[in-house]
Amino acid sequence: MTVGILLAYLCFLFVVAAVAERFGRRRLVARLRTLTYVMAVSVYCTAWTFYGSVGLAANRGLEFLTIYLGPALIALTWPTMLRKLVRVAKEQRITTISDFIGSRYGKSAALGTLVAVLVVVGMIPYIALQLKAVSVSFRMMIPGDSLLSGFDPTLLVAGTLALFGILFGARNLDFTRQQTGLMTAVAVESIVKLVAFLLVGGWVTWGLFGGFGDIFTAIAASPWSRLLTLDTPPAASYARWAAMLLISMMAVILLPRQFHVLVVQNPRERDVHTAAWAFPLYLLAINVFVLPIAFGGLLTFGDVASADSFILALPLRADAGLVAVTVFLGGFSAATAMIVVDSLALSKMISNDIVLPFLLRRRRLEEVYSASLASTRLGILVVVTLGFLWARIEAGPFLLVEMGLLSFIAVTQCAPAVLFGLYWRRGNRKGALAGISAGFALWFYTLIVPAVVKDGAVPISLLEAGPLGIGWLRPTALFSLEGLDSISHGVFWSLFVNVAAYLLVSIFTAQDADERSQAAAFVGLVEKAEPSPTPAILSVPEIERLLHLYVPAEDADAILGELLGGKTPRELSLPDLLDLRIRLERMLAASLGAAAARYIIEDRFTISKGEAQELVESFQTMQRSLGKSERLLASVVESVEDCIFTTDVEGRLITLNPAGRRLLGRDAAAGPLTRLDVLDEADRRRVGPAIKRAVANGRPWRGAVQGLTRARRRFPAHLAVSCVFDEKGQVLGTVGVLRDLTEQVATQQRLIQREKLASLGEMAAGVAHEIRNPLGGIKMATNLLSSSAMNDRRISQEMAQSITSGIAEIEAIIADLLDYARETRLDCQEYALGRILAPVVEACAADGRARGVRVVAHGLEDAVVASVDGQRLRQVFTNVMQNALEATERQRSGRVEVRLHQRETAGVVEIADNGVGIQPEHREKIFLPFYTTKPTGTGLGMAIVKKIMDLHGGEIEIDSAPGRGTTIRLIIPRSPLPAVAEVA
Amino acid sequence: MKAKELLAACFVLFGALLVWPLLSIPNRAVLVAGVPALVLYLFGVWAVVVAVLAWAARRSGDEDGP
Repeated sequence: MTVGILLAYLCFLFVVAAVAERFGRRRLVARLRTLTYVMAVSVYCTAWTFYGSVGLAANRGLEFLTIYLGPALIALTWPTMLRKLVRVAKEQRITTISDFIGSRYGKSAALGTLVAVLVVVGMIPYIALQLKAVSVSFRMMIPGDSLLSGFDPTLLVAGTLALFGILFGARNLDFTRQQTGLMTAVAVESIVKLVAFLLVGGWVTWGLFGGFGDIFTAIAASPWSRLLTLDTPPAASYARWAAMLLISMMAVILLPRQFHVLVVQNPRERDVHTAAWAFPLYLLAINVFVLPIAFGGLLTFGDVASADSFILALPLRADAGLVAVTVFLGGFSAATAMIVVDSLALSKMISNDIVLPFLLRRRRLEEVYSASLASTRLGILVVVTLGFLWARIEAGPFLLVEMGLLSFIAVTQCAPAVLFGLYWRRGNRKGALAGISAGFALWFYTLIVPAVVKDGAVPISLLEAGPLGIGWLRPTALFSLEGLDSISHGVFWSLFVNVAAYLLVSIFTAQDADERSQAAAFVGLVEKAEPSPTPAILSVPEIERLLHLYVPAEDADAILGELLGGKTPRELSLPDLLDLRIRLERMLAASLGAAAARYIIEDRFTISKGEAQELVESFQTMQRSLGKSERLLASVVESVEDCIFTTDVEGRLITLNPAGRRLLGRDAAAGPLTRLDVLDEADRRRVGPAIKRAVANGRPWRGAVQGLTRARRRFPAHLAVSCVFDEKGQVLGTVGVLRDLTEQVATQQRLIQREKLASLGEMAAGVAHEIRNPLGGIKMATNLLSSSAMNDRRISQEMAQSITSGIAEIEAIIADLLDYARETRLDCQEYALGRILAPVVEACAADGRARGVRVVAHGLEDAVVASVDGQRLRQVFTNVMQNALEATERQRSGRVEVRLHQRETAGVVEIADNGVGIQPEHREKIFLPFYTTKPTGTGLGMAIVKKIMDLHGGEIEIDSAPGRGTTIRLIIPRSPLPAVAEVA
Repeated sequence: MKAKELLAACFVLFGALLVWPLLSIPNRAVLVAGVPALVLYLFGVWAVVVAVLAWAARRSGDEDGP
């Protein structure tokens, strides 16, 4: 019966994989693909989870949780770290962890081989552990007196799984392709094991016992109550806890099967985000019942000896056949999924990083493809067989968990090289080699040696007295580090030495060009990798031949078509060929690994004579076109109107174009010149240091300057200096463009002149208009006087009066005008502005009350002092305040606010009203004399304000919105600038 | 971007919750509602981690688009 279930289950796996493979070709729905990915990641839970966790829980309490808490914790970094890892791996077509490390450190074959060997060695016990679990659980299922009791299904299972791996995993050399069948089968197995575990957990908890509380209470009262807490004294126990958290965090990404499923077979980058929460949730679910089962086992059997198989022994004892079968299937599915994926990933490492380099050295390239495929498939068999043999030999008192932990610590030795390699550009090959070798050496010495000693293969004196009696070399207390258990001791020493060696060697040794370009590609994906120093260019026929050698014939043509991108070989340019070579290398890397792909392309192929000719011709064409563009550029520089010069790094002039020679009257060849010689002396001091700084930092500089000709004529100019870099980013020199602005400045001044004339015209028109009104009155009166009305004395007197008043009006206008036009001298004294402002505000407030406007003042008492002409400034304030009152008087709740405050070295008088505001079209003109929008007044008020403010060197700011009011700010500097006063 | 920074911070914070000395706080022989304090604590932290990650995945899903 059990054998039947086992065979049926294996058949079921084959069917699932085959069906998925068929449908996978028709593109699985994206959601289903994500689900498959997430579930397949749970290949992390192996038979170790099924049997070992319970065993560990029964022996050591909560410690087993670290193996699952660590992954849940590190999942917090997946959206950043794992996503980057996946992106790099996809771009570089990485297939295994050894490939990743080899590729990161300059596509190094040696490093890849080292990692592959060590990881394979570290993983074999882990596979053995799975097979052992299958064998033990099988024996428990078959009663002792059965005919089949002598039959061990392990060999059968191992063989079948190897076949499965070969059929659905190693179909094709390119591991970066989606292995839909394999992934689906693994995902299904994840579901099977979870369901099985939950079922049996529920059955134990509520079927055999009365729920969680019942079990925990019983344990708390039993001799095993210490399992509910971590051991005290804490040092050892907490250290072991932390060490196990750490190694499980690393292992969940770096274990060969995890890397394969999580990174290589990742369908879409952003599925990482889904896996990041779904996977920890899966782990949480599968762990809920571990403690109840372990404690239930302890309470039932009263002994820890067979703790590893409590989960199966409990239903068997209770004669619950169905539950027992479920457990058996769950454990079996956990073991098979792990064996299949792990052996597949390991076989790829063996093939690409151990066998291929050997083959390539023997230069038997024609066989590479077939040999590589064969060695991958054979590799699966070899790995499974080794695991099987190990399981047979290893019969010591070793707990399943201890074996698993040693594997975890082994792969953790890759973590520094991978993680630093992803974020630290300087980390180099020598550092990685040193770190990994040292880490593994210590792993072996501090963890494997004591394990072997326990097995009795090595005398126990080694552990107790140290090798050759040297006490501080004891494997379990290296350098006399005592007080730690063997796991935390081993983790500490191996990782400490690993990281130290990696960092120190990386810092003190240099990278070669290959390493640099790969480091750049891995660390900063944004920029393109530097081109390799000697790009070997392949011709199209070579590429074709290559493809046929390394890819199955039916794929080769399709790939070539894809590589050529729709062009015929004749149409390819040299850059196209280069690009083709890079893509071909990546494509080969997906099948053969980065190191082999680089080797094949760089070392092996040369070009034929005819192709060399073609290449030479295309180079010549390129050179001709380059020459053409160079001449074009030169003629542009020659004919342009601006002065263009080049300098070296120190700023010495090297070339000067004809326009520059004409402008400056100098010649670069005539004598040593620097770029500062084209500037006025004052500017040399002013901008010289700024330009120097900019050039030193590789930045451009631009600004307005005074140019200086050889004849010492100064001219306004604009100078732009920018740096020229070589291909390494070093500053070679600078290019400067000096533009003569004489013409522009002249034009500008003409414009200003014209504007002044125009405003003068407007002013004249204003004056004429103002005078014409009274003149009209006078004219009418004189007409009347000379006419018949002459007789009427009353009328003639009236007329004379109107003439007099008209003349008075005109006189007033002329007086105003004279007042405005007269050269004004300021009589400046130190004043507190508030003291000038206060009486004005007071007068206006009274006036405002009459007109229904509120006048408010703030800050008048502040000591804002300036040197001003008090009388004239009072006039300014009065005019502005009057305008504000007039603007608000017809408003409801009219309000004028006056504020005095200090702004830097100036006093500011702000007069804000909520009146009618100024229309934008009037804004420009309000300072023009005789410009007014009001029915009364001469329109000189604001013009006088402007003039007096100008004399003080002050400024006027106007904010106004029609209908909402106006704010006028008078900015009065502390002391009037004499220059400005003169000009005005 | 904000979610990623938050996750990085959570990694450090939750990491601290799961090792000595903070771990020694719930590490005592007490049953809470029939469940050992340490068990309750560890599974609680674990559940919060899952919740934070699920929230972040939703957010990043919004950012990435369909």
